[in-house]
Amino acid sequence: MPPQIVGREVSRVKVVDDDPAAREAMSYTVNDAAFQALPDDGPLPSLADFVHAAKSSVDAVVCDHRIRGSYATFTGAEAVAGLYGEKCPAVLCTRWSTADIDAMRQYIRYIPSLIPSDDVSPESLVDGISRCIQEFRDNPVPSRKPWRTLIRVESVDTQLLPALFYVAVSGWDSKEIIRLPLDLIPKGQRSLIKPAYRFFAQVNKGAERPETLFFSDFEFPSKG
Amino acid sequence: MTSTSASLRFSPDILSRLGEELNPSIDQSILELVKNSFDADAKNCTVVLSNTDSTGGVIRISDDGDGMDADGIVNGWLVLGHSSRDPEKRTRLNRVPAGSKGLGRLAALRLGLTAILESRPREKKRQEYRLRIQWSDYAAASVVEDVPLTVEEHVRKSGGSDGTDVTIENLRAAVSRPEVKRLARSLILLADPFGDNPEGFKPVLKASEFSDLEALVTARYFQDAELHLTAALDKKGHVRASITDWRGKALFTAKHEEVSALPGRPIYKCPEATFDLWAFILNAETFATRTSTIAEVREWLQFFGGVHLYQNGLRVSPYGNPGNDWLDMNLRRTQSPEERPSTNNSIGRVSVHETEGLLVQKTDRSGFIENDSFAELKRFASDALEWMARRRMQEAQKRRAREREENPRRSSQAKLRVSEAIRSVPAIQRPAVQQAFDKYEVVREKEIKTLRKEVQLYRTLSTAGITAATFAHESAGNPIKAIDQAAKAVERRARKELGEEKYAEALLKPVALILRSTDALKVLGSVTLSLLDHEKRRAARVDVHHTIKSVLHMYEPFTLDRGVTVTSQLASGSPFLRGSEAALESIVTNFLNNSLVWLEKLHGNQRTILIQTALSEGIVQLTVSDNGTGIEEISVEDVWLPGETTRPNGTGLGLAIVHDTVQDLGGSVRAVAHGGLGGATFIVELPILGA
Repeated sequence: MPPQIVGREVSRVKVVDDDPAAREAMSYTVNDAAFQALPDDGPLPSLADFVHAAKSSVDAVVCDHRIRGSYATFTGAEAVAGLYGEKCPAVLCTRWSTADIDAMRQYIRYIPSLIPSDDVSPESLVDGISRCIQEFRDNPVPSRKPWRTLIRVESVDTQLLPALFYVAVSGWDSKEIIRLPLDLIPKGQRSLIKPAYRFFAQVNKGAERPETLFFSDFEFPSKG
Repeated sequence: MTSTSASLRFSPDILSRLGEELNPSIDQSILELVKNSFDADAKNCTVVLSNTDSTGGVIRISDDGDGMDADGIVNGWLVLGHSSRDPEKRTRLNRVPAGSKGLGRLAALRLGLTAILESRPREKKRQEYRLRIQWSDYAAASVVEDVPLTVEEHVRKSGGSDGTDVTIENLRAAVSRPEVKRLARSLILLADPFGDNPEGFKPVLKASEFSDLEALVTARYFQDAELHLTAALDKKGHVRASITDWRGKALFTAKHEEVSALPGRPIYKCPEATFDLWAFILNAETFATRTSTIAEVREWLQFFGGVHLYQNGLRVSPYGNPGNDWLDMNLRRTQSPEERPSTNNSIGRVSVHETEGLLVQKTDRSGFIENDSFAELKRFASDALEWMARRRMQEAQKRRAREREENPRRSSQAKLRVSEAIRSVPAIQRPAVQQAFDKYEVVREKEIKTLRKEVQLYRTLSTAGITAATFAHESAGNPIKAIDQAAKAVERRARKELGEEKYAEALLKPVALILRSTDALKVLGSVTLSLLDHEKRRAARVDVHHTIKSVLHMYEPFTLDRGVTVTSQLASGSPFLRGSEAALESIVTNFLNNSLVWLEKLHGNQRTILIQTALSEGIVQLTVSDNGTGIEEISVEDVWLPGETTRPNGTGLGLAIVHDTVQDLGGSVRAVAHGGLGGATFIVELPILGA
């Protein structure tokens, strides 16, 4: 009988990774979680076609963030965020490098399950898929619940690529400075981002670590 | 219903709260009185200090401005806390008033036991008004309002010119020499002595310190600057910039798109402004063609260097004061030293012309409130500096390429000339001279070879670093991930298929070994990547202890593996400095690498590295000791030289990097051949901002 996760039948799980060895190794873990691993050998179609195909052919997806070159034209974060829109559970595996986090920050709102590569196990995959399903039912786990939160800009660094800004999120941890890519902010509002400027955003204040904080639905007062 | 009329009343204590405590420096307080003179359209303003080197002295500020009548004194000068700044308002001479809330004035007046105001208004040529404030009267009163003040009207002496004199008598404290010097500097800089001074306002201090500095500032060595950067920000927020050389020849020009650094090249949302920066190259070669000497320019820059900020013709403190590097010029130079000006070798000014009140000074006169307009003004000046740095780097690269091309030709020409000269030597001496020259050539060739080797070494190490980073990215990614997950799959499945007992017997140890070794591989990759994290190269507040602890944590797998005990004894407190984490990290990692290498040679004994910090008066001392073989076969001075090493296949660069980095951070470093643990000890002292 196919396994049930929080009342939803999850059997076929697509495994997405550009490296064949990593894909195969991930398939062992997926199979050990009592799912049927379906490694995708690529090349993957366009993002829209990939999402459409996955939604209709599998129950969940496990995807590496760094999928490149001839294998895919989009990142793992973009794929998982796309699948979120279609309510298809997807777990993203990442190495937590700062560059990866910068690149995926704007999608974290739509990535309920972000698993460090070291922590991949049958249990963490089942838990990840379960978090997605709960969130699709508007019942996110506490660490993913959004709250309207005051953000204070501490500094801006436009010399780097991508341009970054640093914020304090007092409702989360006023001492920790969070680094965010400037392209997280809508284009027309980026010039507002300056030291000491304050604005509101929906933030998951229950996040366990800074990398999994999401920022969405920004509200910019005209003056800081 | 009965009612009692009431009002807020103030205890006399409020006067010192609002005065001295909000404006603690004498020079800033007196400057407020001088700004009053500017607002009164004075052309001249004289500050005289009499017997101020001890208590009981007198300060007198006199101007030839429009003066005040009784109404002006009562409803203006005596009203504290009201900003007289009206963006729309202009003075008779069309000056934009500096404005004042009167708190600096209060602080100045309270420097003595008595303050006397005498004013001769321009509109009332026959009258003179006097007011005397005896501060002891307030000590006896219970509220400020209880002390009556009287403005007396007198007939002006014939010939008495318009203007205002403020006399502060019986000074409560002496004015120290550094304070006089600061006041002199502030007064000289107040009215933009670098420009045309269109306001014609000239404050003067009657003190010897002033005339010395005045002579310095009037010297104006701008013509000897290597480069002059000019950037102009127009009303629409667009910038144009240009760089000219010391002969006035235009080297570069740029439009907004080239200067504005932010993506999308947004306009600068701040008032119209200009930025001038004169950058000097303080070396003998450059000054050989200049009219002044390096010593003169260096002294001048020492007093007036940095970028000063002027709002409507008057300087706003503290921008450009010693220690105030509001455009982070020194930090940028530390991060990327080539071709960048610092506050020690450049002078500049940002002049803002604004009447809309977008830039607002803080009540305690410690600069502008850091609002959007100010941030944008700063961005404008910083972007202009960055643009200049980019252009200069480009020039330096071209110059280096040219020199590389020209050097062989120059060298053979020079050699030809020497050969000709040798031929002209009398025949009897010629062989000896030729022989000496040949020897010299051999030595020179050797020196060139050594330098080439050193350059090659740096390049090789850089390439090794880049390659290590690339492989770290790749290995931490796919292969290690695949080994890790496959091994874990073997573990899970074997446990299930064989049962715990058989698994423990047959596979537990080898699988555990694979997983442990994979972890070690992951650390190798993550250490390399961590050292390269560009975040760490940002100039920021760096917590010294946090950085040391992070490095030790990162090294733990290596030190454990090599049987080395690393002990840290960090002083209590959290010393911090301004710099980059990467800089401090490179000091600690290079010391650790150095110790680990030498501890390899230690057989039989416990291998130990001790890291200590100590704090004293703005300095953190970092001491790294080990129980290795110590520094032998090389002097403790020479260990810092690049390429100097006694280790086969050693690069001799680790300690050279430490030496340069410590210097960049403004510190010092020394080595002890055999320290407390018997091996080498290295002691670094770095200036800190706090602890």
